[in-house]
Amino acid sequence: MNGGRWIGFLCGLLLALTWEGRAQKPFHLDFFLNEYKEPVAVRDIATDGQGYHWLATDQGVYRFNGQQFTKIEADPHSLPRSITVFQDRIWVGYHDGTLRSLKANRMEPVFFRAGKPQSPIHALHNLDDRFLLMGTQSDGLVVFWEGLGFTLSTDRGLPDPFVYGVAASSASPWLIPTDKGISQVSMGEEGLSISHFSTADSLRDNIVRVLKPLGKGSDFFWVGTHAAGVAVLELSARKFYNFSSSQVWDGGQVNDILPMEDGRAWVATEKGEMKELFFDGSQIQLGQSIELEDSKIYRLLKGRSGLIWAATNKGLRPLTIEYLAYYPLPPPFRLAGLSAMAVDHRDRLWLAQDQQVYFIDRHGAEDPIRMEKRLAFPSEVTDLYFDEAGHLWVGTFGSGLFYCRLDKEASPYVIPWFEGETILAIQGKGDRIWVSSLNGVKEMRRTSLPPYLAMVRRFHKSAGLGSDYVYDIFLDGKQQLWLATDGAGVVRYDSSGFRHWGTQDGFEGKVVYQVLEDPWQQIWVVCLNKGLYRYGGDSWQGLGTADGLQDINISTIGATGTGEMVVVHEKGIDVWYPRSGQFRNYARHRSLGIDSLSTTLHLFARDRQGKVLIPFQKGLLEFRPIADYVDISPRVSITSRSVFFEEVLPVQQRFAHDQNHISFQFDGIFFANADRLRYRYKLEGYNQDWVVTNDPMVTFPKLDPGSYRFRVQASANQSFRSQHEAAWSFVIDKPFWAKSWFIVLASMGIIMAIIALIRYRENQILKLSTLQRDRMRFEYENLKSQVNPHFLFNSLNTLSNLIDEDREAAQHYTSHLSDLYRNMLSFRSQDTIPLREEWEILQNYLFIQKVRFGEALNMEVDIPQEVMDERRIVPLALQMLVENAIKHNVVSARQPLTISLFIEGSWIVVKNPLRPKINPQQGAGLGLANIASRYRLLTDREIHFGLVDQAYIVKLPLL
Amino acid sequence: MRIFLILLALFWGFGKSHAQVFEVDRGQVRFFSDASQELIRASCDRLHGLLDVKKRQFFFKVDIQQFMGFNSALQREHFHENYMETSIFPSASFQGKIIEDVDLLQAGTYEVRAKGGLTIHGVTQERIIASRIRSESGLLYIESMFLVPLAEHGIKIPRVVHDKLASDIQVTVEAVMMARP
Repeated sequence: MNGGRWIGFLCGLLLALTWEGRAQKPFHLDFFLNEYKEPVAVRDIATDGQGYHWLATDQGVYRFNGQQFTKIEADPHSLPRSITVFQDRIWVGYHDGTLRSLKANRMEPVFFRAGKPQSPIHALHNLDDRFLLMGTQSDGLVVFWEGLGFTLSTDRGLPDPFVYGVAASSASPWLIPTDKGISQVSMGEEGLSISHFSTADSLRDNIVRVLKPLGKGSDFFWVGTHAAGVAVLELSARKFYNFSSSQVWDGGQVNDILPMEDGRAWVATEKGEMKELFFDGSQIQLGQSIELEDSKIYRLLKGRSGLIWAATNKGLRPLTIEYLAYYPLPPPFRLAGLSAMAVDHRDRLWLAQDQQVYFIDRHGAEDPIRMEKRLAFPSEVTDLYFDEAGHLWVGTFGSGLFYCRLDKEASPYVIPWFEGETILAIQGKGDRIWVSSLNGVKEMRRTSLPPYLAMVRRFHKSAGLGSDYVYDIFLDGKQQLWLATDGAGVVRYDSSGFRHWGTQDGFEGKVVYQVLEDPWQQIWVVCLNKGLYRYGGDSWQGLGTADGLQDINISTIGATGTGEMVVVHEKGIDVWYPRSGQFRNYARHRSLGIDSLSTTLHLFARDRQGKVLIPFQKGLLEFRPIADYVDISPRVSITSRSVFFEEVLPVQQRFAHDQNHISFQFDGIFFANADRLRYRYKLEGYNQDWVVTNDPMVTFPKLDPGSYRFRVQASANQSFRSQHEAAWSFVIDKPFWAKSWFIVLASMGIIMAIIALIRYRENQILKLSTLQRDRMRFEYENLKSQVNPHFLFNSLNTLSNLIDEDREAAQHYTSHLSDLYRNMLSFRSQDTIPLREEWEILQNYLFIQKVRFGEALNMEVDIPQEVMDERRIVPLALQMLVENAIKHNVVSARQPLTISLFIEGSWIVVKNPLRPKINPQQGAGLGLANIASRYRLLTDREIHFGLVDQAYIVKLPLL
Repeated sequence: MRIFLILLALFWGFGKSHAQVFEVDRGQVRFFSDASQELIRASCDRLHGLLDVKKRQFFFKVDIQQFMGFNSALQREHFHENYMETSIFPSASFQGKIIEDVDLLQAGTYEVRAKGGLTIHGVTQERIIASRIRSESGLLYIESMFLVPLAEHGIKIPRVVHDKLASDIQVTVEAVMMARP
């Protein structure tokens, strides 16, 4: 995935001191996109909302985070030519006319319903995030909107179909640079109108390759041409402005123009030069020129960190020119032993080395710059100060203070007040001068005649200063005098007297080397071995290594015109960026090729433009005021989220309970000090502590269900001061059995099941006991009826008659009677018996009754054999019904009783004609009710009984 | 809303133009390589080309196979087989337009820039090539000289022949063009 890897920018930033040109140079470096350092042409470059740089190269699209190039996979058959950010996505125009946009880490082709360009897309322009404007090679300008391409080309009045780009806004006319000049497209009442600017309108070359507004909404445009360099177009006046007559464009073909604030611009050329241009309203001036040897520069980009990124035919080349440059100083000059620096009112730099004082004119014609010796003193020079009249005051080691009028060739004048003294520091304001020697500080008033100074007052140890050694004197914007003492810390003097600070005020230092004020009226103080302190008007705040300072043994601090604090120490230089709230670090040896930095205290100068000048072995470093847009703080983005190593989309934020192995990859975006980047993360809901790491990846296995928020921060210092954060929230669901609805439902279900079970058991027991009881009652009734004295009496009577008449029949009768009783006894305890067995009981019973009644009792039976075998019946039920029939009806020879027994569906029917006796027997209906209740326990089917056509019918269900 | 009107306007209409085309009657393409160890020259007469003087568009093509000259037959073979790969890329072409707003039907001499795609060895590079066109009695005399950096056209030079073959080859084109009936 990674096309290449680069560790650090400035840590690997070595000086390439080979180009010629103006005196000052930027630091720069080639960034190669691959590990083999093979050149890859970068055709276009863009920055997205997160801060990533995106490159359209001959080897595809790359993303760059300041340290690492990541290649985006795409169709390898076409070359990216242009790139931009549109609707929060990356869009790339290709050589074959394809437009692609980045979706889920892939370059996906954009579908055109109509109007797709067929030729290379050289330029992309985002118009208010609503339209994407494409400059093509032979299709003119194509406006992409909602899947449609609208073409503005020669058929619509464009003079040439080769469109290099467009300068467009929705409020003003569009300007289209082509091979035949500039076309202005506007929409009037009558429709589209196109007008042209060409050589006929004093444009010097018709091939207009670049067109950029001077500023947002400006009426002035930079015009870059093929052969005639750069011009400025004032649109409303239709007027072109060119170089001043003394200057000639020698840069060749212009490839890009980068407008800066303040009317400047950087121009990139095919020959590999970057030229700084100024437009003053009437003509263009050439500024400095930087040559990138053996390169073609295609595009320029203003980086957030202050770097200018040049996209070249070799790769990517960042230049520090907007915030840091240096002046090489050729031998025999060395700046190693400097002891003091000052800038005069003509912006010339004065340097003290040993007993000599030199000056350097950085704005002169000398290239490289030269040190010019001007003055010499009897002993080492310790400090230089220019007063407001432009005269130089020189402090020496043991030879006192000198006054030098540079406009006259007079030799330095020794100030009698300080004869033979060692001068530590000189400071002044208006007509006042404060001079620190080994005997405290003297406040003097300047006079026009010798001895040029008059004593105003003295500050010394016993007068309340607390120390006689004052290393630095500073007068702040409120006219308060600040004194950096050896032993008494920092001391402020104003009309109310001296003010000291100590440990109780949060100020630890006793030995203070330097005092300075920033544009926000905060006082900055350098303390011996304690780093920096900052005073905001009521309290002191320390800044040390935890805040990103490389070393606390500071020798010098200097403030630029925009408030950046340049901090010099043995390990290198750190620059505090107040708007970013952090340091930009330059390490000695590694970063700048700085062999040594001076350890002399407060050795710096600030020039008229607010640049801070710091000497180093090879020359002078120039730290420039920082433009508004610069922000050096790192950013961080979460680049992927995975569940069990399967990547998920950021919108997916809810996971099942077993999708609980979650990993994150994050990425720092940092162009200032990529090697110092650190991350810290925490997973809220999992733990509450930040975990600091250098590893841009973390995995959380086996997360419990719950709500989480993953937060990651990137910082260049340990304190994570003013860090940038990326966060992502997600939820791991509970398993369904742990969810409350399930628990409630499940417990309700269990309770209901238990209740049902209990009810069922109760019913069963109840049924069983009822059955038992009914059977017992039935048996009792039955037995009672069978041992009914009448039945027994009748039976025995019949038997006794039979014995006399027919012994054999009597014997037969007896055996039937005994069978009847045996069967009754053996079946009584059963719930059901086969119909056949009941039929046998009935036969025994009938036999007995038949002997008694003879022909008066008849039985008609119609039961199929298979029903006899298969169906069951309640025991003794039929016998009981037949007995009832005999008991309740008249049975006589005159009126014989015929009982019918037959099957009707699944019922068995006992039927007899109703001829009730005159004296009905007691106990009637009890047996029938008993049968009915026994059936009720066994089946849902009820027994039926009643009168039908003068016949009494009982229907029993067959079981 | 203005922008939508522009878009609508862009959607309609086409223009028309008339053509007046000149064709190469005779022409020659020469190249020479000026390396420290060896000087190589070759030329080819098989130049085809069309130029529309109204639209100021052109198309030129040269048959690589027909390049003659060289210092030896072996060198010619190397030229075709190792560098130009003539069997795969039999021709080189230059197609594009003339930037300068000139009327070539008017007699005179014009310094123009021809811009277009220069295809050599199958690789097309966008080039702007300065040319001189002399218009005289209905004929166009064209002269042009330019450099071809071999690396830009994917032609790799082995290290051993580095001092025998220049990395930039100088090409000269001369042609006489006649109006097509």
